[in-house]
Amino acid sequence: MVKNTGRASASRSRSVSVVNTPTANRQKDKLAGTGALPLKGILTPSKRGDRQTPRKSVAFGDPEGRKGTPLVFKDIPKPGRKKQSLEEQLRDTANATKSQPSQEHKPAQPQENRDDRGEEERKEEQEEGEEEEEEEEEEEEVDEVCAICSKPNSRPPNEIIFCDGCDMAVHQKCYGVPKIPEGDWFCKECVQRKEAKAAEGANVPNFEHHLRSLQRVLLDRCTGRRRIKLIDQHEAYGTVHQLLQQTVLHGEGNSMLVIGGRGCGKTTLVESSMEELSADHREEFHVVRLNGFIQTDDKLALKEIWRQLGKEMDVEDESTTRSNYADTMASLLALLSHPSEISLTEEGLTSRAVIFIIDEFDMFASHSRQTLLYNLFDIAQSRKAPIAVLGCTTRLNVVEMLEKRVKSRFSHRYVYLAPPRSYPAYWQVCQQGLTVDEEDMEKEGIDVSVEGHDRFYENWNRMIEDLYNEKSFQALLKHHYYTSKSASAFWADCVLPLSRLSPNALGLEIPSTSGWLVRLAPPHSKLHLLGSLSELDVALLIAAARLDMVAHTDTINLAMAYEEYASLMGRQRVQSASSGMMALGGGVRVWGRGVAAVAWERLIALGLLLPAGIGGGRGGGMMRGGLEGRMWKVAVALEEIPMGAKLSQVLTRWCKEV
Amino acid sequence: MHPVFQLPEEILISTLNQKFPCREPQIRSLATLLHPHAAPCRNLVLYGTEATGKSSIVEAVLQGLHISPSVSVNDHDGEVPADHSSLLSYAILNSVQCITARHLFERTLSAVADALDYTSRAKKCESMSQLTVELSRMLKDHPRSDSFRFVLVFDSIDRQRDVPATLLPALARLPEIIPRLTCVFILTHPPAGFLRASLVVPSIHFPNYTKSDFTKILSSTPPATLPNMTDDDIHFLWPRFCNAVHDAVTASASRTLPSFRRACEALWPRFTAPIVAGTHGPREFSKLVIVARHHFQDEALLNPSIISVVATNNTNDDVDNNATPGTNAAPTKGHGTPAKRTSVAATRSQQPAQAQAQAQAQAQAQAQAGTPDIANLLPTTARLLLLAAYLASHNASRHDLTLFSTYQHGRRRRRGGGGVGYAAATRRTKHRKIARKLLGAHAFVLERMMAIFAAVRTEWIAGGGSGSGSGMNMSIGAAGLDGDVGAAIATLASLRLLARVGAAADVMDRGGKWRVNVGWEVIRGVGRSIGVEIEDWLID
Repeated sequence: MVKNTGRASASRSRSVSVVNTPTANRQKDKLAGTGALPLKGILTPSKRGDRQTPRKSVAFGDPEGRKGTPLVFKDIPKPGRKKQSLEEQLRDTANATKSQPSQEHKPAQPQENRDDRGEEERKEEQEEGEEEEEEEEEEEEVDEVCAICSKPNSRPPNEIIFCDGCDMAVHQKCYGVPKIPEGDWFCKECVQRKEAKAAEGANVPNFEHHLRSLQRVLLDRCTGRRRIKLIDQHEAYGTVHQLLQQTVLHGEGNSMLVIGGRGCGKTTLVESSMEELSADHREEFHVVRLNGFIQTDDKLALKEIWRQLGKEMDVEDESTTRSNYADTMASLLALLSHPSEISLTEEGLTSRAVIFIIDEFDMFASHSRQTLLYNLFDIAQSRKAPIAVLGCTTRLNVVEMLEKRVKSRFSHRYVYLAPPRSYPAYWQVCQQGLTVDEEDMEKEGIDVSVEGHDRFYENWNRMIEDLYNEKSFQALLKHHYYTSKSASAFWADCVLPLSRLSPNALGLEIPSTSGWLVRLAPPHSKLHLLGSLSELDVALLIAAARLDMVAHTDTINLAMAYEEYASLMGRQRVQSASSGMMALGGGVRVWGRGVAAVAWERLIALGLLLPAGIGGGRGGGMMRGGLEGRMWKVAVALEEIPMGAKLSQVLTRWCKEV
Repeated sequence: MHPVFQLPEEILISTLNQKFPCREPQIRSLATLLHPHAAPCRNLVLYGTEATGKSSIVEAVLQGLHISPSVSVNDHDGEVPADHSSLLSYAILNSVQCITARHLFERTLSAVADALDYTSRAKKCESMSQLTVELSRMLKDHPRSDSFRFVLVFDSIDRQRDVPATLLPALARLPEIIPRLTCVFILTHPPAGFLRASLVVPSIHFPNYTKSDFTKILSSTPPATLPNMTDDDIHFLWPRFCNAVHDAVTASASRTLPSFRRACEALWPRFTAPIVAGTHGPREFSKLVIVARHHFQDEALLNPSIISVVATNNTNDDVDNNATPGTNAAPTKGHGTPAKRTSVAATRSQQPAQAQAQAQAQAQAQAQAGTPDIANLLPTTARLLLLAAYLASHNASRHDLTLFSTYQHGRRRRRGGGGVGYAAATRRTKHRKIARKLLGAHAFVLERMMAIFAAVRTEWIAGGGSGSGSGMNMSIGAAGLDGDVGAAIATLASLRLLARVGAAADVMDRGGKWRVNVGWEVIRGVGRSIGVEIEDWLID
């Protein structure tokens, strides 16, 4: 019921708006004026004869539903927004003439009267129409004819397209779809059905509150500000947790490497086991976190260790001012060593465990002599003090980077983290960005006791399930699964669609088709730059890339590229002159050397030309003949250029004909 | 406990939309991704070509969010101190202004301290590690509202000089260490995975403007009215004019907003000159275009050249009737409007007296042309030496015998490598050969150049029909030669027309290596000035 009313009001408002546009009216008058063309062919279902049964959805979309309105689709000018609405309107008229035999004899009704018609009548028509639709669909399944004009032919400018929701087949022109959309296409019924479903959810009490707090949680997860659960990594988690526990509780020295690709959960693994540990034993250990990107040498790392320990242990200030590397190392060792080994003990300090978490472990392995690693592993192994060294890295062969003396002190315990192994597992991980599990509600700060909670989440989860079954969503998910298996790449695509949700607009669309949202995915290659180039820039780039093939050189300079450009242009001019294109404006303008130099510099600035021979080859150096003579390499291949930008015919031919 | 989700205010977005037309999707996404209550992310990458509004839009969005009042209104329970009413602060760093990485670190620290009103600040900051510590001291350990965010913008970070490989990954790690920090990176093209971040970094693309965008942007700032035109006329004419300029200049050669604007501003006075003069009405657009067609084809609009600033007493800025396309120079890319003004002023002053105009044009042409006119400025010996150097640079030494030896045959035998077009047309084999003159100059030994000089000198001077030829024979007599040659080489070297390669001991060392530093066009001019077609002397 809800569905029906929703649709009725929607279709009414649409038709009204269409009717009111002046162009539509004008066009209609014109068509009416053209007079005596018979009603035939396109509009009349040929197979089913002159069946004049009422059709649905647009029953009252016709202000002047009279018989014999000549409607010839071929006459309608090509797309354009207004024209599209015009087509829609014409179609409405067409349907109406078919569907309302009873009304056809009536004089044209003013639009106000139509609006005032009874609600019941409207619903009746609606339902009637729906049944009709279902019947028709069954038939269409067999021979794939357009649901509106019942013709099977499907040619490029006017192809038959299928709704991805209900498989209804219509001609583009009959349904007013000027361009076939790239992703899924839904007929208006399906769109309305979806909206109706969403609207149903909106009736839940405290709806806005639920939605906003859910959005908060999901967006925080998608942008990486909240940790998500690890899925299927129980074994790894157990190992890490046990190791940390042994260090903290039993005073063992341990070392371990966590190896896995970027974004597969190394930090999450370590941090969540740390969290669990610190829930019980916060007072019994210190944590030192290092990052190979930030602490770029051992000295800095040592300083940082000293700072972090000093802060946690409240060591007196004078020790932090020690600048000497040897001093710092010695006192650090003293601090970490067992009291019995060093005579001058500082009581109480060593009884606590220290956990070193070393991110980008491989960077530390590249430091000279690996002093820090040696010392840390040495302490861990020789039971001088209870420390655990946890290294996170993306390099599988990181152990081979270790020196022999360091390697021999390493415990050779590893945890490997793999990205999700199967598609369902991947979806399970990704799903956390879209739904919140029942048991996590409390943790995420969602108040379960608010009225309407259960219904809202039931609704929401159903919506996500529907979304999961959509083709475009599947395509996106599969794309990420087969290219990177990175859940965060998928979440990046979810951020903006999620943030656009509001109580008024509940249709979650991933990937979004609306023009107001940009895609947040990083670019695949430099080709996106080509779209912003001018014709001269592209022409020079093509000339340079051609030389690579034509003249078999991989480095070019401006003089060569310009010469090629000028000769290509010359040939083009001859051709166009002989074929008379020049008169039609097909003549191409040859730009001078100075302008070409500016364009060349722009290509350089954009990184589409890379300096050749940095390693002291022939081309290097600023001295070599100024801009003209300096050698460059083209960063894109000739075949790639037409993919990156929309080229004119001439330029496309340059790319093809070598 | 957690603040609920909230989108940035529409009013903020709509004002920004007015300020930056045709950028709504970017503004909307940016505001969402930076707003403390919307979806603030850790790192953000903005990429696109130059002059697409990346930096200015980020700054405007951040400023808008910084002063946006309702951000703090919705904060819970007033635990925010009154003086920290804003939930977002920001600092913008431009890498172009930083010489080294350390420079960047220190500027970052001081910018953050400025933004947060810290008085005690670290004097120096040498490493990333120290930066991290200082930033966490200022941002992490400071009592502020939970949802307070700080945004650090690294503008044109891809231009940062002297940068260690770990700098970008390390900067991208900062928000992991300091949870309330957001780092925004602005660059032309982000290489794949350049931040090496564990999360895929959201990236917003700023594409170049399309034709309709260009026109729309410029239409919003129509020029001042001129005589014989009403405001309506301007509103009629200006967008059409912009469209025409776009088609003529911008789409085909220089597709950036500043250059488009400059071209419009430069062409407008010339385009409207017939209206001002009264020969055409303001509504006759197509006729005006036809009249002004040669202006639209004027390459000097885009061609960078040196502009001579000529003092003029004529200050009427708008009328520019008979500016000839050849002499009116447009500024180079980097120059703003002032430079253009001078050029317009310079051309305008041609009106009063023909003679004066001529002189001026000449001076201007000289100034503009720069090197091409070097032929007129150099003494003959230097010209000859320059030609010899060019030949030495561009001919392989194995051809020297064929070219310059007069031993058996009395005169030169085979010359004429021909141009590229010629070469390309005749022998189009599997791989085309590239003309040597295009390949750039090779280094040569000074001795070889001197030998070539000695070989061609007599022939060129004798055969050269140029007017000053008779005087020259004298100047390159046997007696005065060496001194002259030395001086000429020194002149050429000091003008950097000849360049030394490597660190040879002495300028006059005959074994030292040199290279000619001028291009084909210049050399052809020099050659013709003494009546030599240099193309004949090149062998491929």
